[in-house]
Amino acid sequence: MVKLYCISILYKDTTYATWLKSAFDLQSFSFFQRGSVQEFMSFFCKTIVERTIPSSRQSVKEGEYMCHVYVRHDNLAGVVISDHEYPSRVSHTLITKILDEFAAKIPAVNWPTLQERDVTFPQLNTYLTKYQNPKEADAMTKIQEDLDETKIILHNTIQAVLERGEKLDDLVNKSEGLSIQSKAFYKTARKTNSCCSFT
Amino acid sequence: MSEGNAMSIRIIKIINDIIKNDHELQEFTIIPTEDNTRNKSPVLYEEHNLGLESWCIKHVYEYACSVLFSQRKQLSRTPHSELEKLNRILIVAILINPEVGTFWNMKRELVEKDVLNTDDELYFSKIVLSHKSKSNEAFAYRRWLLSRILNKMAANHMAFPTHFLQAEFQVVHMASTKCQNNYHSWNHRIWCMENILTYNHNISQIVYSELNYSQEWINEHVSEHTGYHYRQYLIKLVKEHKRIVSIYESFYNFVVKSLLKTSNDGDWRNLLDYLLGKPNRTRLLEETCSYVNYISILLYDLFILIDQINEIYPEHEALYSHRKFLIHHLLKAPHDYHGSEFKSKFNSEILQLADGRNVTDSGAPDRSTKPDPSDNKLKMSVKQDDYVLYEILSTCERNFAAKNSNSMQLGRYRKWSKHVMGFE
Repeated sequence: MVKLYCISILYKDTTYATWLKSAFDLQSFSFFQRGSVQEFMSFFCKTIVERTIPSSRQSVKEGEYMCHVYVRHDNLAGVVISDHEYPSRVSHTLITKILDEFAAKIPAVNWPTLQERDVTFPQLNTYLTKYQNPKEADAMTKIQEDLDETKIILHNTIQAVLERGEKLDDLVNKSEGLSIQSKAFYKTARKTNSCCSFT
Repeated sequence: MSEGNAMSIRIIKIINDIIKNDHELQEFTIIPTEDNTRNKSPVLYEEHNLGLESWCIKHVYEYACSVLFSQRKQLSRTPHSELEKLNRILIVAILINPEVGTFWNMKRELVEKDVLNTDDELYFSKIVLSHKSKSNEAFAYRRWLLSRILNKMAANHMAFPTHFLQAEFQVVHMASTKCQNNYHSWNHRIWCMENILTYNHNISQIVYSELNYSQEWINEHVSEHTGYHYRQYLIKLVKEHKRIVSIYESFYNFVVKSLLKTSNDGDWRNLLDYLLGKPNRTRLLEETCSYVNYISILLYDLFILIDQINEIYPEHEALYSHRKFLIHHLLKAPHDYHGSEFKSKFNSEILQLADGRNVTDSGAPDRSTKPDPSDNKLKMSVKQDDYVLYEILSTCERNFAAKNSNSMQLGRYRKWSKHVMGFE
């Protein structure tokens, strides 16, 4: 299925990332699991941004999901989570476009101190709906041409993004953003050997 | 143990009440939980969604199995009033584990005894499919129920209503959406087409809307082989089904106006004469109609559907497979139409091998370009390069290869095209 699940904007302090704005489309997940899926997507966004150095792009494949991240030189970061069919190129151009707009609207001095609930950036939800159809990307040809795909680092699992000695299981256990229920989800999903796939 | 049973009975009652009273239930899910920490009912019910927390599954299922298997043998002697109670346990047991054939068979017996009605059962199996979308048992049960309805209608000489088919397609759509490459649900769709269509007068219309549906589906699920397979089934159906007697305008107009840039002169038989070289007036009118539709759809898929998808989503193997299907059928179509036998290069080489002829000789005649001697007798020989369709295809393939020269799939595709089809 061609699908965008999540777009998230974060600010990366030297080692620690905070959310500035997120939008989700989780209709395709089972009703009682949407909460946990959302927590996990937020968790992955943060984890990955914290492990991406400024002025670089990464794409991480995890099961049937793709997670694209771009951290700008000024530490503003964007993440897109999609399924494996959604074209990576479109995801990366979308991040660039959204971060440009966000930076134009909200001054950089505020980024380190902003709380997610104080940020008004409703365009994010509009984009999430609009770009479900990647044909919309035609409008972004200019950015697309500038995008140098060879510079995107591609990882085949999320484990490959983690630093040496880090384990995903430990990170999940330690995380404060994940509820007990979500952690139970994670364990079950792990058992059936399909991380993030709660079906 | 008795305390566990009391809890299980209570849970079974709650679930049954919800299913009985809510006719718009969207889905059933089992929610993973560590333990019963909150001391609350494990049955969650919100906005027409039903959830069961996993900690209680073990107890409920154990209880359900012990009752059901002890009753299984004496099912035929159980009084009517008891059977309904049994069904309540069956419902929960199947929701938890839909893969047990025995449970479904017990349900079948209850349907045959008129304890359960088919409408309720179709609804129930839909809820099961919302939880386990690949459950073959659930689909088999639906087919069994539908066959019963169909047989009853056939006995009364009634046509199968279209809305019934639509309802079935909606269930299939849900199951196909929930699990990618859901082989079971697409198979079920084909089963519906094959069985229900014979009872319906609207075949042309239904096949047409299914073609549009599959196009929409493929656009949203570009790498799902099952979706393409269904479309290929439809295309073959168009060619072979004798009761599709109307021209599918949208496909036909595309070929005439956009591809050939001619005006539509009203007689669609001219299209075949133009594309396939010479007329074959021995064909019946409805056969000619089938061929016009068949070739129009193949060309539409080749030039529009997969071409557009390939531009946005490069490198999907499923697209190349569908392309192979299209090219193969387009090369074969003129032979079928004129009644000569189509032999791909690969097939004819195999035949040559069987004949003991020399195939290593590079100068060996390419038999696919030459008609069979038997065809000569019939004077129906069509050389591969003397009709317009062949030219259109070879131009299209050349352009495609030039445009996708960076594609990693292209090399393999070209090899197939050259060595198997004998097509450059």
